[in-house]
Amino acid sequence: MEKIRTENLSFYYGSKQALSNISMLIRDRQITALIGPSGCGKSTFLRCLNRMNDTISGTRAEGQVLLDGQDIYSSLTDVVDLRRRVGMVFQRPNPFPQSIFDNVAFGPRVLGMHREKSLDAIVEQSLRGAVLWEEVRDNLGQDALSLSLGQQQRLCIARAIAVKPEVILMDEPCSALDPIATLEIEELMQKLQENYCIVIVTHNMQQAARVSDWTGFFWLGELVEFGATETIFTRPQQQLTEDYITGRAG
Amino acid sequence: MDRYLVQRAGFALLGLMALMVVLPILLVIGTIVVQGGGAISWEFLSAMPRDGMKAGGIFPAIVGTLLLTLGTALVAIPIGVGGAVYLAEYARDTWLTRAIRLAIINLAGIPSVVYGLFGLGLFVLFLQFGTSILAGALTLAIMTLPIIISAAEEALRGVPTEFRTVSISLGGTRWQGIRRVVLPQALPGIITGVILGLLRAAGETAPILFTVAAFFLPRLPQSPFDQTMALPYHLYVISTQVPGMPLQIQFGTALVLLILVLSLNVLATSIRSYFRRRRQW
Repeated sequence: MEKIRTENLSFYYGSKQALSNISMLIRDRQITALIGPSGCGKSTFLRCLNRMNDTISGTRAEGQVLLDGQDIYSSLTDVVDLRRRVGMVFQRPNPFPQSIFDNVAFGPRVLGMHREKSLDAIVEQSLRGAVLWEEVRDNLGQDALSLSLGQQQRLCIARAIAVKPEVILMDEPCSALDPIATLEIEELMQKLQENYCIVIVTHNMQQAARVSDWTGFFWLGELVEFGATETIFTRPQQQLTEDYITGRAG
Repeated sequence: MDRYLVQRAGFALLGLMALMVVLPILLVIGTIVVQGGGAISWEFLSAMPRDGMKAGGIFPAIVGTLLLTLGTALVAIPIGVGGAVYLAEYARDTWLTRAIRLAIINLAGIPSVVYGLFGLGLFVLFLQFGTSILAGALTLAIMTLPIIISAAEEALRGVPTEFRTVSISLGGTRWQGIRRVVLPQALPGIITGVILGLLRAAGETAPILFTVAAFFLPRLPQSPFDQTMALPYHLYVISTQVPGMPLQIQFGTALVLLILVLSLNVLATSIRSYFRRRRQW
């Protein structure tokens, strides 16, 4: 089922064009991976999907990004609410320097939820959702920065799902993690996929092949090829894609 | 010449110079403690001055300085911190914000006696506050503002951008991110800057000279429109204007002022180092 569709999306940092005419269909409850060399525009594309690029001055988007058929770049869009619906997990684990509980409760609180009971419930539910609950259930008051990096990243995922988003964007979520923590995040993604639409940017092609259903290959701001992950990695249509995934280009 | 010898001689010389930085502060404190320590007594701290200030205590001057510092804080903290939040978090780089920054830098460079005259002209005469705590505190507040704004802005900019981004990505408004994450993180730096600014206000003579300070007023101020004695001005008076003043009282007054200011300084430094140790990003 379609969740997000971009139509001829172009993006500019000042006069420099970072994306040109990207049209892509992202399906709900599936994992879509974006691959490509550094600077190819895959992170820029990801950040167009919840308009995080808006926070950088001098940027401009053209074309459309349709979330459930509604153009998020239209002037009617409530950008603050858009970001609640389209959550984000960043490259480096970045919990707030607060307790584990306060980290997860941050989103619900800014959205106006203050009742102790409902907060307790949503914190537990989110931590369970991020497979962190069993490890931290007795230390919710503990400083989040005392967790291991892998735990911190799962905490960031719990924090993101606490506001009940529909889409989760992940910007190289494992690049700061060791292989075991990476594996845990990947398993978590498979589990989250049952309830969310997930888009992940990754440098790691094995990771894209392992976890994703769909893969888009970016090169110099263009979407060279998009298709089912299996097809992309076994029978790519474009020579450039084949060169990249076999390590001859990029 | 042996290059190792040169190095050793060089280090010795540099070490000596570093030592010479410490020497004056030790001498200042040492002299004042030795000469003025004997003057400190409960009466000296808690009584009104008597016999043309040659006897009795300096209670009204201590209270005056505390009140002036408090008044300065009430005015300078909200304006200074608020302005810093605006400059660090919201302001885009326009000619207006550049002008504001330029104004702050220039405010910091104005000699304190000029603030005094300005306060006299604006608050005492034009706005008719009279020679009063209100006029003095406002004058000191203007002098303190650039210190507080600069320190607070620096503290805010020290908080990683990431926290603001994450807050936005969770559906928070910019202000929610600032209030819930950025401000608490910047607070130690802001507090330190505030204390250092107030410290300067507490010790200044020139800005209060024409705006609030009373030569001799052996009672406590009754309202914000009252004059008051204040420690720095009192010290100036008894050191230059009263013939036959016992040296011990002069140094005793200096010691009280020094203790007041240094303890604020120690407080600021320990707040800063305590939170620096706790900070993990």
